[in-house]
Amino acid sequence: MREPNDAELVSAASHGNREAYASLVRRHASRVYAVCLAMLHDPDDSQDAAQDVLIKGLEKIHSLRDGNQFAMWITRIAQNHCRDHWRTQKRRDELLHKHSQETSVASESSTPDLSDALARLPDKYRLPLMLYYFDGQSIDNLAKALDISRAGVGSRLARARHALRRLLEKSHG
Amino acid sequence: MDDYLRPCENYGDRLALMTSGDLSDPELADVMRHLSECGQCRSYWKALQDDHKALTVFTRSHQKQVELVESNVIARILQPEPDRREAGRTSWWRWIMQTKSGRLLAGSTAAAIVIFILVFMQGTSGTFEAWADVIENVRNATSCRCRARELGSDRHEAIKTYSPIGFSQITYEDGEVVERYFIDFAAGTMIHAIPPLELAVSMTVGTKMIDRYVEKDPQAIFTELTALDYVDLGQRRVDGREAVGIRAEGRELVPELVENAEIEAWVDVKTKWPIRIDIRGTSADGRIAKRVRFDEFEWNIPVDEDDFQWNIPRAYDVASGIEIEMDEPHAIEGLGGFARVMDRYPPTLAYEQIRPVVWKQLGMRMLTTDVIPEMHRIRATCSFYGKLVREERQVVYFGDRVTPGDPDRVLLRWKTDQDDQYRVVYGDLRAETVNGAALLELEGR
Repeated sequence: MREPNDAELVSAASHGNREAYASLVRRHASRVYAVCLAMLHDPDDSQDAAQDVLIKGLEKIHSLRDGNQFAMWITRIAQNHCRDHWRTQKRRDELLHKHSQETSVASESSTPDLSDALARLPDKYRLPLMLYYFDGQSIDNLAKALDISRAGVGSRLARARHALRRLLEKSHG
Repeated sequence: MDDYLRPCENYGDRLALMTSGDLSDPELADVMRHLSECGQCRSYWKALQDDHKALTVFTRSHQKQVELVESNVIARILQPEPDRREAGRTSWWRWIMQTKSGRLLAGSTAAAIVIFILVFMQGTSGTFEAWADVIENVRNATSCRCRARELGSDRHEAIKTYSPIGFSQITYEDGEVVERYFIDFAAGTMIHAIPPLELAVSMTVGTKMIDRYVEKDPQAIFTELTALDYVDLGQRRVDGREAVGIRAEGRELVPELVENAEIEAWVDVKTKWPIRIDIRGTSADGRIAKRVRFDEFEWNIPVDEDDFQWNIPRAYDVASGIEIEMDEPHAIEGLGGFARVMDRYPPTLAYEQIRPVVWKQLGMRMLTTDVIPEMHRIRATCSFYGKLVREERQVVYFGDRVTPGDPDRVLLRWKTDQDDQYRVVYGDLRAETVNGAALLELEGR
């Protein structure tokens, strides 16, 4: 039997079919987690955030007009959620009089591993890279999900890897 | 190591696709043939494979978290309704009590309730209860297309398309296309074309500049506006629809465009989507005013990469090799370029106030491939200045009194991250960092 596509699942989910939304969760949990990890850098925070995002997705699914855009839509919710998380964190840090400079200087002086280097990549590069590796899908599927051409995916990944390599080289002197 | 960073131009993308086995047979054969001939691409390919392996291992190490996310969410959404409520209460309570983020959220929520009572009960008196839905709609929109036009001029209008993958603008004068902008965020490219004059400028755009383009979209403006101390304008009919409006003003709204701005936003009560945003900008002395209206919004429209790319026709006169970015070196370059064209620095770094000055001095020469790139560069300078204003870096610009012939006078300065340290750009565009006492002495010159 043919697997329902995202648009069909979104349509069923917005009419109250929770099984349909569960299928969307199975299909997109890794993407959402990847986005959260890319932005929050902490696995535990990212796990909490990804759960919140997917639950929020169910609550808001009726507002998504074009079900084919689910991947982009849930990615956007994840990005917004993580930005809110940053702001809360920032406010808390300010309240606690933590000097953010200390943290960044400390992290820059230590030898970073791949995770640190990924964390320092600009969003523009980090997100496609994380989505690609975490989704574990073919370039064709990724191109479809990101709404760009295959060459575009290749180009983004190549640039992301360049940037990552530069960071690793820089940190290793 | 440079070899890694420079594969042959035609093979970089294809080598990336080859890493994951995503090339067709003919493509693969072509790339293999090239690899056998090109040592540079072989080094690149080897490094790509190493990175690919490292990233795959890294991803697998997070697989457990992904599985937990999936199972926890599915368990929550598939629980029967009454149990879910009960279990929800228990797990939420446990989460609040046992986790730092839970306690933080509980504290923030309590604070938010207090702020809500203080602000809303006193100021807005609950005229529209669905702002949260509106903000949520806007924030989660995947794309937006709208019309922008300067009020008071019926001849021009622009159709702007905003999305996470790019921005485009087509400007019409009496129905004819007079200007096109295309920015492809992934490729980091911008094309600005002026069809009636058959000229175009092709630029590369840095990531910080792209972030600024993203931040300026109507979604961001609206979200920012609702986070400010705004005035409730109540309910009235706008474009034939029942709408509620809010208004905020201040220097920090769009400092890179105008020195003072007032933004008014109207939202359809029924659909809970914005239907009009008016931006009124004035110079500090009130002499220059600009009023732009964004309306005819379409949200969540399908977009793809092709919407943000454009093949420049062969007949066009093209300027290329221009790079714009929102950082100090490019900001200084922008000032230098402007001075080369105009023999002076811009009197202000609010872009909408610079344009009329240039137009007045250069007239149609403004629309040449010599001058247009400088306008984009100075626009990047303005964006950098705007960023400093928003970050409250005590930025001051003296372009109205300092000229390229004043090598020791301060043209632009701002506070750095360090205590009592200021970055100073002089009239000859040298830059250095000085302390507060030295700055005082410099600014006294």
